[in-house]
Amino acid sequence: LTKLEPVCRTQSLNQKSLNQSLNILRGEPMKAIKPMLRKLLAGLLLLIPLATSNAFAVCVQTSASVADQTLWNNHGCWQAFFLWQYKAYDLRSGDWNNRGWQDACNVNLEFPKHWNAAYLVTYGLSDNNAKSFHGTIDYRATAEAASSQFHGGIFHTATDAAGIFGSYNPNNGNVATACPLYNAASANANPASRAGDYMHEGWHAWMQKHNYNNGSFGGHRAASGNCTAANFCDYFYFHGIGAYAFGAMWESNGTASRFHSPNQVQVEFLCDVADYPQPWVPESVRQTAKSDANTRAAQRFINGPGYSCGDPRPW
Amino acid sequence: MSIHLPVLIMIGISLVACVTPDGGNANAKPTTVQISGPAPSQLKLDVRPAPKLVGTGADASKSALEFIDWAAASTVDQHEDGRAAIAAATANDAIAQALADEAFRLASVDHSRALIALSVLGELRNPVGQVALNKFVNQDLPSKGTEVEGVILEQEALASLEAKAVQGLAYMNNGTAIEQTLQVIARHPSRIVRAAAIEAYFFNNGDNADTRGTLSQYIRKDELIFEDRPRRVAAETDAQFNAKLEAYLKIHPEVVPPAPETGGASDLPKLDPVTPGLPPLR
Repeated sequence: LTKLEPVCRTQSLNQKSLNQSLNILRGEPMKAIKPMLRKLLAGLLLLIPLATSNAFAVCVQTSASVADQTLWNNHGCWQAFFLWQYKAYDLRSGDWNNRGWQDACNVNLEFPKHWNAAYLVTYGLSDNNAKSFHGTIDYRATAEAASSQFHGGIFHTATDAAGIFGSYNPNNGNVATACPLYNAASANANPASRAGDYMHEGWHAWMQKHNYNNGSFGGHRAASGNCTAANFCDYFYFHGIGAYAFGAMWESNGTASRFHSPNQVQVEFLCDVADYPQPWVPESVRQTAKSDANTRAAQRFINGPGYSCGDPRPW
Repeated sequence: MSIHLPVLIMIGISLVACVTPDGGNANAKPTTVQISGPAPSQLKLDVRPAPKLVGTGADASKSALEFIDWAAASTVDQHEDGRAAIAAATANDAIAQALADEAFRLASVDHSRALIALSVLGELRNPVGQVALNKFVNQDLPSKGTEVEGVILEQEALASLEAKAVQGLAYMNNGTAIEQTLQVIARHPSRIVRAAAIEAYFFNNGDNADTRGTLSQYIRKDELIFEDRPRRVAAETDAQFNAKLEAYLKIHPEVVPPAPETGGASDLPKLDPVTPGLPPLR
């Protein structure tokens, strides 16, 4: 599949408008200043797309990681799924129009990568009661838009903001995922890490719904104890397998005995992808999930490390 | 003025059209030019057996690249097939070199493919591979780069690959590889890599008094807790994992976090409810 140029959705309309305007300019009274006005009008119309926030500043759109590609090959661009997913995650065309909204089968673009990760969340876990930390029902409810015990309503966008993997805006419910989750050269540009961020940001929304305060640094805490990620630290609230029935991850009792932090939910999701996926989940997706889980577990918890996932045999 | 007004109207139309990118339709469906295909469960996927890792020179490079392609897409059911193919090539230095070359090349290109290359190289247990893995683990980490959420993106990315490489080094489990792994535990600048080396050392030497005795001579004092951290491994039951966790929390009561804090949450945003229905059956 070839790369689509990142252009405003209304390019064709703009061209039509331009032609109509130029026809007007062909009138006799304007003949003397026609060339100047034509240039001015063309310049104005070219500037309009630039004025929209996502017009040109988009993530790298020329490649996808092998983890994205191998998962993609599993479904071969399943249109019934993305036509469900955009509603389930409340993706809005205006936010994604230059990110693959009209080219939804091009895995190099952000929207296809977004729904590729959602595909992993929706179908990719084995939900082993005796082994998984949580079930698909928990991870879907955290990531998807619908209001529930997991959070109020949310909606997903992509952002070019620097310095983040993702963000949650408590004022409007916006979960935004950023270019380090999409640019193929980035370690986190794979379906598992991207979906892991849906969990992380979704859990900030859980915190808001249940009136918890996870710290003064954008919902995290300053580095201390065993956390080395400045101002992006959480506590790990250790719990056993089976402590939460599938569907009950949202529960808390106001104490440290029944609670999750955003980084913890992310690590537990990644561990479940790495260790207990559906049999068709590709090795590259599992390896990236394990790498991300263990990287986070080692450096993002004040009372860390978190669990280590999987065995360390190379293959 | 009779000329300016239509021009302004057209500019206005263009502005409105571009702000509402679907020409006024607030949320048009995503589209594609590709013809709709069946559900994934109906697809006939190319389930190939693991290719052989064979050859020298350019043939070895080609073979290694083909194997990485296969390995990246392989499934759980194909895991042992892959291990057998790798084991059959353990004496092939050219394959080891080709895998190493690919791992170094990919490090800043495609992290997920680099992980696969390092994974296969580690499993190969080849002397040329050991040299390459030790070199990979000890690459300098970038001290500058893109700061993302409290970490330097490029530094963390390379460290996580070095963590994969040290798993391979530890898996060699010969005298020099053990010493190299212990040096990583003692001196590597990244906690991500040190933590991976500790896990790998336990995996290859067993969790026993001898292992812990050796580790205690190398592990940093502020990282002793990494010896005891809960490890979830595939073969164990929930009861086994939960017993390990309970024991860990008894040995390390300091890791029990304080009670979560409440308050300060703003009102929930008011959004229109979404009604996607059930996801399609895969």
